[in-house]
Amino acid sequence: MPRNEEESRVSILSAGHRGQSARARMFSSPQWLFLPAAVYLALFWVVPLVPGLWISCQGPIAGTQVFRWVGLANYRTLLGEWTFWHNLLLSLCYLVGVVGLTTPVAYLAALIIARRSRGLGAIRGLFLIPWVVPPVVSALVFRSMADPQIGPLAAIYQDLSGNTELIPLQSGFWAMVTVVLHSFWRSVPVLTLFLAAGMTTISGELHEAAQVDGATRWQRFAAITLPLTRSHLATGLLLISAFTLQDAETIYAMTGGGPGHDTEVAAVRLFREAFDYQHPHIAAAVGTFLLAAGILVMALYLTLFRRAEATS
Amino acid sequence: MRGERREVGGGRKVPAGRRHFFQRTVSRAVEVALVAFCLLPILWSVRTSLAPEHDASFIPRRLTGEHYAKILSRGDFYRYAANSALVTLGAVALVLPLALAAGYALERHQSWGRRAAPIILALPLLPAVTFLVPIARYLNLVGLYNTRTALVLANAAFCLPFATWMVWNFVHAVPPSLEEAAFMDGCSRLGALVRVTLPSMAPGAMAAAVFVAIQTWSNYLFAYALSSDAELRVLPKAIVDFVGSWRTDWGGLMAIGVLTLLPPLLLFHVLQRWFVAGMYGLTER
Repeated sequence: MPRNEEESRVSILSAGHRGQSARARMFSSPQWLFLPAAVYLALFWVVPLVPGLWISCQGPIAGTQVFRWVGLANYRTLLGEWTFWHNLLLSLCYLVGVVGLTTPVAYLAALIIARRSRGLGAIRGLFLIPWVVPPVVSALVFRSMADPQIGPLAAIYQDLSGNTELIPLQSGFWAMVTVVLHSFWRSVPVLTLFLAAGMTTISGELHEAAQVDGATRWQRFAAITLPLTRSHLATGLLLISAFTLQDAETIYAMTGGGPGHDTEVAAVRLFREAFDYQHPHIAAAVGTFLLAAGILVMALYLTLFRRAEATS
Repeated sequence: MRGERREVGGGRKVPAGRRHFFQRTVSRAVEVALVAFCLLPILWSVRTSLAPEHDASFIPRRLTGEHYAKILSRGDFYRYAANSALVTLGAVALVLPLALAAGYALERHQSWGRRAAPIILALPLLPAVTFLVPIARYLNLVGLYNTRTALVLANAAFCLPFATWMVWNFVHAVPPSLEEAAFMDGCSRLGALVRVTLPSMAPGAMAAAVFVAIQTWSNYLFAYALSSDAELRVLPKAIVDFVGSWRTDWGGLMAIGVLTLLPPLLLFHVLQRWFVAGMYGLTER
């Protein structure tokens, strides 16, 4: 019996070598299967970059709808206006707020969850719920929670600020808090699961060995868990940063960028310029800044990925 | 298993049992708190959709179905729901073959697949909002602006990277030798693909389909940017438009919100296992 098996294996191998010439070579080079996806991706992810830049260098001739080449005038306008700096500052606040809240909470939660003896099981399903809810819907849910008539969030804010007349979404500060809180709610569970998945891949033997050597819980955390989850943490951070920077729809649905321009982050500015005010040229110029930030995050991500590949 | 754990935990002698109990209580408490945190806004939206107007108490004294009745009696609600469903199905149907082929190619052609895969996965880090203006322009140019096809195309394009990556994760699990064996047994190249590889990629395809469906159903950006016709509204866009006219009729808004979030939630609940496996990759285990 074992002999038969051996023989059949040999025959397959040799057949493979013989067939290498024509059929098998085609078999081993299926790049062409990638072609449709590559063309399609290029059409939507690469090709629009050129007209995007082109539009950003156009401007309407005063009093008409006719556009002409204006060079970098739109960029000069943006950089020279206070509102745009305010947009960028708000983007930064939004980013720092979401990342600063999400990371420590998610990391601590992941530490606790990863220790579960029976795996993540049902918890995982519940944790992904915020991610499954359409962003526009959850934004409106938070908007209703911040409504002074009925909302529990509004009641909490009023207590915190000591102002019983507070209408949260009419106040720049509290509107921003609500926007950050909403994104925090959407991202914390997902990041927790992501980090917990990284932590469960750490072999239990490492911890046991350290324990045998008399390492305290804190020492084990600092010497094993933290270094081994650093790349997961960095990846998670980059993902959240990228999605926070490009998020326009949740803020737009919740506050419309208001009151005034007080929650108008750069992405919302772009959205409003493009579709509310019909200023595609300004939107495209804002887009260039956002794109630059996106490319930066992407480059960091790829560097990280490559480094992880190299060490593994 | 549990006995072993206890032994490890009980490295220090006396307080082991108590420490273990304390630890477990803390972890349970944190888990419950996190789950509550995830669910509370959803429960709030359900509560508000069932509470009579102007009932400010956290647990309403009386429940009413009037908000749902109001929405379900509107003919346009069904049109928006149908639009959403059509666009979602279209995007899934478009992404799946592309992602399957691409994921398969990435895995089987290791040398460049390894280089191309991270770039594809990183594409969604670029801000989709910046592409809206040029994409709207050239969809207009080819006469697709203000069509459901435009929404399908855009949603599919922006879901494709991650869907491909999900499929790619699953192709890992199919050893090339399996294909080769089928091939040697007289299967044609296509036959080997269809009979051996494709069934093993089915879970990946499933995961990708769930992902695309949830993303597309939820998407507001493209719906807003690529269509202006009221006839073509999808649910997320309809909701935002309702806010304009209904203002603080939270009961009605939350009712349509709940109706909008229900399909992805159910889909996710039913197909969760596939989706999670695809998200974390079989390689993690």
